[in-house]
Amino acid sequence: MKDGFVDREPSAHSSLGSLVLCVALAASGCAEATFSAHSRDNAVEDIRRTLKTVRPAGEHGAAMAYLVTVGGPTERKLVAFDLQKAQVAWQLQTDVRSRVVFGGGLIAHKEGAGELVVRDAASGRERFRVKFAVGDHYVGAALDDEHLYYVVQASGGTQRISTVIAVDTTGREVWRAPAEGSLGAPAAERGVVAVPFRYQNICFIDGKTGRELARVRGTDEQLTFVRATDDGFFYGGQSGIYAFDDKSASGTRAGSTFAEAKLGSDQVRTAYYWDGYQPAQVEYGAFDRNRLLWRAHGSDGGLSFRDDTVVLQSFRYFFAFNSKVSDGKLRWAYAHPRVDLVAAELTGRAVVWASIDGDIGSLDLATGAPRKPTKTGLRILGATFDADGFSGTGEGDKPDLVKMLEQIIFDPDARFGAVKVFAVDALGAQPGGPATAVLLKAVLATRGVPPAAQKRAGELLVAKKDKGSVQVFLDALAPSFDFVEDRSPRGVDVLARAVSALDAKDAVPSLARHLLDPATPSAALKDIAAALINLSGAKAGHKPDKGDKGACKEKDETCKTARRALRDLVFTYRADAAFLADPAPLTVAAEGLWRLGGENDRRALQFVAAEPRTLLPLAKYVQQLSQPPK
Amino acid sequence: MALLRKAFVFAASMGFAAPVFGAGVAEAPSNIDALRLLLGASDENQAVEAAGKLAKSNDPEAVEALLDGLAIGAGPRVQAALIDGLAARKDARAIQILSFYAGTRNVEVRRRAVTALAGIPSEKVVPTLLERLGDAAPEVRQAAASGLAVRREKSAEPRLWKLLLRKDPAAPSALAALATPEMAHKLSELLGQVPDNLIVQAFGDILKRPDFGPDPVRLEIVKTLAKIPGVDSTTTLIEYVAASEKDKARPSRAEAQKVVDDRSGGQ
Repeated sequence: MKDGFVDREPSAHSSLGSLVLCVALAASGCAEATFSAHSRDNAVEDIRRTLKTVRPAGEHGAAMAYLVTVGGPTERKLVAFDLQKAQVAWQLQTDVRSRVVFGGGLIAHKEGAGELVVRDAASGRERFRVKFAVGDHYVGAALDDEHLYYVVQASGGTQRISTVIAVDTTGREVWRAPAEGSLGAPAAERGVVAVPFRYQNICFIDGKTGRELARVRGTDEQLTFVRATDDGFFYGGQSGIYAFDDKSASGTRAGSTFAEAKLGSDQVRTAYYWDGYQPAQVEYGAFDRNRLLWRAHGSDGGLSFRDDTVVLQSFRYFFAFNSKVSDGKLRWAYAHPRVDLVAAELTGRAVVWASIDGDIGSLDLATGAPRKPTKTGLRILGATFDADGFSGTGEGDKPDLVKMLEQIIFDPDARFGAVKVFAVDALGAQPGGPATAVLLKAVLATRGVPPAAQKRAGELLVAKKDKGSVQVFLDALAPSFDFVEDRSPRGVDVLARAVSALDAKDAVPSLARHLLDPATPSAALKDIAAALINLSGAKAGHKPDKGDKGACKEKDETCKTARRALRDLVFTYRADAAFLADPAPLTVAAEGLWRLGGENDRRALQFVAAEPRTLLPLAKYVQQLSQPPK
Repeated sequence: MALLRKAFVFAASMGFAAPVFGAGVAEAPSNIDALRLLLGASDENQAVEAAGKLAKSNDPEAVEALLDGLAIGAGPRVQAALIDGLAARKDARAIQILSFYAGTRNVEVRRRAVTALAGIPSEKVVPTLLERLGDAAPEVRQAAASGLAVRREKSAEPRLWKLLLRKDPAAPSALAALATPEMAHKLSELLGQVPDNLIVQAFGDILKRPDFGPDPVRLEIVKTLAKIPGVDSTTTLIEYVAASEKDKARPSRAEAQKVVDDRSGGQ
């Protein structure tokens, strides 16, 4: 014992104490032991009693970031950083091996392999420490103004036993509640601790007594986390978050106060919170860099994300969405230069973040405007923010969304393929020429843009039908391949589809040239041929007759150029085995020629069909075209 | 490209006219007509052989037959044989269709079309040859550069310089063929910008040109080669010494001999 703090060995469960407790519980209508398989669940009266047990919120202390830093292979430090003053409050060397948790003016973290240390948040001074029993593995911890609660799991034996243990602020163990099966990381809020239990339940326990107050059993999905905020308890799994309230008694998603973040894309993972059962998430890791940031509150009988905003963090990027709309309209995006952001949190008015190279910064939640970061020079492994209500310091300019998305798409960092596709998707939803120009830039890029993002950019470019960008497309189609000039047209297939969708007839000469250019990729020929047919401007409903000169009007050179190119393609390559694997360019061109051409063209096509060395798929296709309609 | 018109002429001549046009071939075919028919044979070997025979024929109709064969389209092997046939004839009537085939997708067909075009004594082929200097296939660029070099086509110079800067091996010999003393000087200034072997190749080809001079310019080239280390430059100098055996008093030869001796002594 030192300075009134105690080092405690775990004590044996007191059977006498349990007996007394059970008698007391029986009198209150809940006779079962905590985590009993026979405890009732989804009972409204239990939930109401639990909600009454939670004490009112107190004042918040200083906005702090607790940083775990590395100085060498074995050297770790815990650094408390005052966000308001933008300076280090205290630091000490300690072998931190878990995420830091906070509450009631204390912080706690695992130290080394087998101890949990509780410190004074203001000074870092150790208040007490608890040692895990041999064979126990740390699962997680939570603090409120009166207790530390932590969960351990015993690895020995055939039956998995997990235990939640409550320790008062002097380090004295108050109670412990063992459970058969898995418990997840706890969350505590002023007198109540909530613990995920067997992947299906959230058990709410009286912090003073260890008595189970209520149990929510989810019937629609696994419940993997519980989170405590000033707005109450929230729990959930993969699909979204549930507020702990009367409606929790339904156990269903539909019957509960439930919300999910709609991001309008399946390209990014929507992880709502740390999986309380995952040992790998006990420490700071990749999950901390790749998750949804949210705060929520009940409203009008439903659940809303605070300010109707959820923020997706993906390593170096943030995307803020309007959570109210079903397609996840993007409000702003932020791309952090060069290095990963190891942790971030939503404070209510800001997104605070810490970068791996020691910068601590924030973004305005409403606009994404970055505030000037503070450089600590530390090598940060992970961070926990206790910064509710912190709004950031300093002012920054609101970033241009299109430019930010462009920056993300063209980020040379090759790790973020899915995020780049996501950014392309978001760009596609932006109106106006600048967004179209960036999509086109992505399509034409020779390097730096993943193929999937490039493909998606092409699809969106075509779908946008941005009439204001016709000239941009025409300019992009203008150059031919030239090794001497180091010029290599890209995305000709996408451009062909885009100008076709926009009915840009001025593109025909360029398309005709690309159709017959040997440098045009084979895969692009079909789209080019189809675009030429579409843009030919041929008379609708043309029915060729004897002596007919075709669907092109007499002075329509555009139509004639298209027809000539299609004709040359068919005749030049009709017997070229290189088209055997994919004869589509030839069949599309042949069909176009059949539609646009006059009597002479059709006879020539019939010759193609009959000539013995013509590729069989083409010959058959033209034969079908020649058949009178049934 | 009036491919369609030609296609009809050819198609009719081959007998496909019967089902298509409703009339058969009435008269016995001439030798050229027989070869025309064979160009459309289902056996590709027969078509290739017919193209060879047409190439050797003195009949003025033979060129037309070859042109029609290309106009109607065929597999790359037959196309190549037809183009070779036209190459042998050096007939200006082939320029249009050879220019078209110089831009088709099969590299070998393209290369042969470029070579055939280069052999036709007409200025009309030059734009296509210049364009094909920028072909994606090195062998086509080589054929275009060689053709322009043989033709001593001065208008090719700007693109050949650019081709050299793109480090393309097709450029040095072609530039050497066109080289003037000023160009030789410009070439020496590119040392360090393009690989040494390309500079050495260009200088070596310039030194081989009996019409290049005067000797002080050759001497400068030899001195430049002397600054380039390696087997390539030594071999080039040895070849120059050997080629100028009859003119031993030439200062450039003496300098080359000195450099070769120094390098031999150093080994």
